[in-house]
Amino acid sequence: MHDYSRRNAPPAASKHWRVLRDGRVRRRRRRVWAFVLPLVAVLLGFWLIDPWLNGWTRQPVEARERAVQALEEARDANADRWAPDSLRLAEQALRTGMSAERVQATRLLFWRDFRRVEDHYLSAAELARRAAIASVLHRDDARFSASSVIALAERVIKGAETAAGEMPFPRKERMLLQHARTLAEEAAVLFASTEYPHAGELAQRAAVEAEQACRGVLPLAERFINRHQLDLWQRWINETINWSRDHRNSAVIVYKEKNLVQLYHCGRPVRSYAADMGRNSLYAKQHSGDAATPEGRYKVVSKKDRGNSKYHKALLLDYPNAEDRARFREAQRRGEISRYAHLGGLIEIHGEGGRGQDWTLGCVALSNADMNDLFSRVQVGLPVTIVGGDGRDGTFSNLARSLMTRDFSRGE
Amino acid sequence: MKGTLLGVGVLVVLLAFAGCAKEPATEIAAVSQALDQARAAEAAEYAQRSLAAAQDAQAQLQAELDAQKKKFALFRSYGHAKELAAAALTASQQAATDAAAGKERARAEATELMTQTRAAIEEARQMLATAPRGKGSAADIKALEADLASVEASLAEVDGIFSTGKYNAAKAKAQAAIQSVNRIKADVQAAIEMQGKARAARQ
Repeated sequence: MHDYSRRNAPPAASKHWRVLRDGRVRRRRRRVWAFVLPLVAVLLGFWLIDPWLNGWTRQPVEARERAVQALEEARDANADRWAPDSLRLAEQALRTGMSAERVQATRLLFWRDFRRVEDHYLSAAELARRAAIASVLHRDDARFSASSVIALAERVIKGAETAAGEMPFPRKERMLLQHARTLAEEAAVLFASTEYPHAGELAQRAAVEAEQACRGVLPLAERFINRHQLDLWQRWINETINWSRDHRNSAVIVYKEKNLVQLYHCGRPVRSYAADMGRNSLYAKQHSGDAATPEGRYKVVSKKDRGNSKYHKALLLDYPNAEDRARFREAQRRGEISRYAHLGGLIEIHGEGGRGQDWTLGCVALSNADMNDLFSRVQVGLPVTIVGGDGRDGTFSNLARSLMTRDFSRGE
Repeated sequence: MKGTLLGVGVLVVLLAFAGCAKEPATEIAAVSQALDQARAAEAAEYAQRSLAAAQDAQAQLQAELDAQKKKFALFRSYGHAKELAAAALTASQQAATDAAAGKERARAEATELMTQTRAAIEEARQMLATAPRGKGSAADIKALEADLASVEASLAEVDGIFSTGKYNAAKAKAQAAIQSVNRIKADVQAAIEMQGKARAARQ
């Protein structure tokens, strides 16, 4: 056994010893490198091709197309109008994805990583889908809301038209009601073209205007439930009935708002006839041409048989009487009537009526059969009292009461 | 030594060329301006699809610009951005053209509807003027005259809206006015027929 340590090595053997030792070291190093280098190469190779193997270096074309398609679908669902915020988020996600994709696409193959890009596209597609759903929901909400308001407007307009059929609307209110109708038509046109919010606004305006038109005529109808006015009419009615009883004769009472003519005999009602009044029967007659039936106590001054009247037969009344003249002069003095206006005349109870609407220029029109009956029972000089109503169950008094409490939203 | 100097020189020239890659500012500004013009031409109302396409093209351009900005300055390239800018410019100009065409179409339709409305109002006015004004129909005729006056006022509103260039809104109003006039005409006809029946009954 040799001792090759430096201290004990024989001087003559030192060269041989160094050669022997260096050879062994080199061989050991070579063995180490032979193991390490392939290992490093394999690891490096794996590191380089791993992304490629996993597909991270491939551009997410499908994901992008899906996102673009989802965005198209969202736009088709009008998300830009009904869910603009959601659509903007989706568009932003798509833009971010496209930008990131472009960055990755310009890198060398093994340094590319499209995983985050794909995430952006998936996110964009999901956001676009949500935007489409939100758009449909918001659109349906708006449609439902608009259709509700349109239905409400139609009910209010129908209610106003019913009122307009029952009483003549003054020109201003009539025009307001017509404007409400036109607005409702416009709302329907806009609704058909899916402009739901605007359609709802117009329908709301239509409802308000139709209600305003009705409220505008309320003061005119209120006369028929005014206590003072009703007391006056009731006094005229009582006096006429009393006259009939006291004189054991016939008397006629005309109720304008009931479209009714009642014949009394000896203070008892014996006949009732349906009658048409002046087309402005809401008002008391003030002057010639106002188409209102006068209110007051009159007498039959002439009987016109067939051939003498344009309207079958007629009972001519003594309108205007002294009270009418005094009232007319007072109204002219107050400036309520033009100074050039005339009081008019030729107010009759005549035939050719029974049309179910107020159409005369101030006369009271009965059907020809009823006129024949009344004509045979009434003589010249008998009283004819014309009142607005008795405050009970008449067109205008009912209307005035309902206008004061009417819920227009129910279209009553 | 000579080889080293040559290499350094080539590198400097390459870097100089690479560093000169600049954003296509002119093209980007042109796209932006064209898109503004499309919006000013009310493409949002009259050419929604074209405007969306133009906005998408601009978004793609912006994405490319963002991508280039994220790169190291020496490696930026705006060749693709220029192509996208050209496409976005074309799309924006198309949107403006489509908007102008759509607006012109809407204007023509609104004009046609307003003409029809005026004709219908005139016809209704003639019907009202020639309607027999007996005791029975006079009230209805007078009421219908008020209705027609209201529609005429609506037509004045249509004129006002039309003059402000809101042709779609004018179209909707004109359509509603036509429907109202048609209903009034039907009512006038009914009033005339009722008067005729009353006259026949009298005879």
